[in-house]
Amino acid sequence: VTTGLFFVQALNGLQLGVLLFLLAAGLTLVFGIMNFVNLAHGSLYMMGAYFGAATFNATGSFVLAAIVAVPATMLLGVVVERVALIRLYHRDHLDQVLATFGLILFFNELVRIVWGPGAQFMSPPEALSGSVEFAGLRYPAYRFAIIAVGLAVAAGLYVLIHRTRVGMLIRAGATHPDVVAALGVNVRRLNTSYSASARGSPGSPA
Amino acid sequence: MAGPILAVQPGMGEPILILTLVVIVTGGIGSIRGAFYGALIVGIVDTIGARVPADDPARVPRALARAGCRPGDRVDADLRADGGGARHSSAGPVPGSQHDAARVTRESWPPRSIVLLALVPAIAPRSASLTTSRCSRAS
Repeated sequence: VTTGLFFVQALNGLQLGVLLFLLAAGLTLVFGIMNFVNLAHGSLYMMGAYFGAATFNATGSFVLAAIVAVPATMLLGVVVERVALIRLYHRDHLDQVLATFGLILFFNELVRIVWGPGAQFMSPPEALSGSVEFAGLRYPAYRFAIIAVGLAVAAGLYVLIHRTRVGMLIRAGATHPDVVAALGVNVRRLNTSYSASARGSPGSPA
Repeated sequence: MAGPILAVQPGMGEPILILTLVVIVTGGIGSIRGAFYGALIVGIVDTIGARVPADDPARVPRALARAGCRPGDRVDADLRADGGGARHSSAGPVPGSQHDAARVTRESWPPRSIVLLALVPAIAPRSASLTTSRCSRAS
């Protein structure tokens, strides 16, 4: 049991790690580059999951749920930023923490009001509902899919950050925002664009 | 192994947020590459660590209560291997099949709001003015 259990646990850990990376990649940019403490990141992840579950319950299609959840979360992120976060960028960290903590409470109550306190369920598509067998071990195919998607996103992010002009600006903005701004780059617009995508990313694991 | 049913519930964002904060601090704030390695480290450590709770006897009853067991029930390998989520299949699908393992240990944490507020000085190292003014006012 030991070796097999170890491999299964290692895969579970890898899956959790990949999921965490999808969230952390967005949050680390918001923290590091915009110098903004956003505790509501997890709430947007929750909202993305709810969007996915609601779409799934309405249509019965997992693929459609995945397609709807990401842009819906992104849109919600933009709305939240316009309504609340944009007033906080120039305030100190304590204000940011208090306000985004309030957003956590707000979103938790919102989903209780809209969807009720119980859990919502969705099931993966038929193609991923089985389990994969390798080396005498069985592992759910859906978890393999999460790992694969997460690694693909990681690779895409690597290319975006290290091989494109936008990525170069993001990296530059992380270390010397004043110089980048002096060179004529609109740091605020750059921040808005990638924070929108950073906030959309949590919806994807839904 | 729990069935491939995904559960969505209120409050599912906070545990994952705390882990994410650990990840970005581990990898270095602002670094995506660091976030990647940090996420793998934290994910694996959290998974392995959550499955070895038996050293602390006080934690086991809480984990069992969480899983819907009563005192006197036998703890089978399924419970330990799957973090408790799949203990009672007769009770229908158990919420949080994905993160139930992590939640077993998180039971013993202080209330989340306190944890989050306690993180303020830790995650805001650049706001030296904030922390120093707090200290001087307190003294």
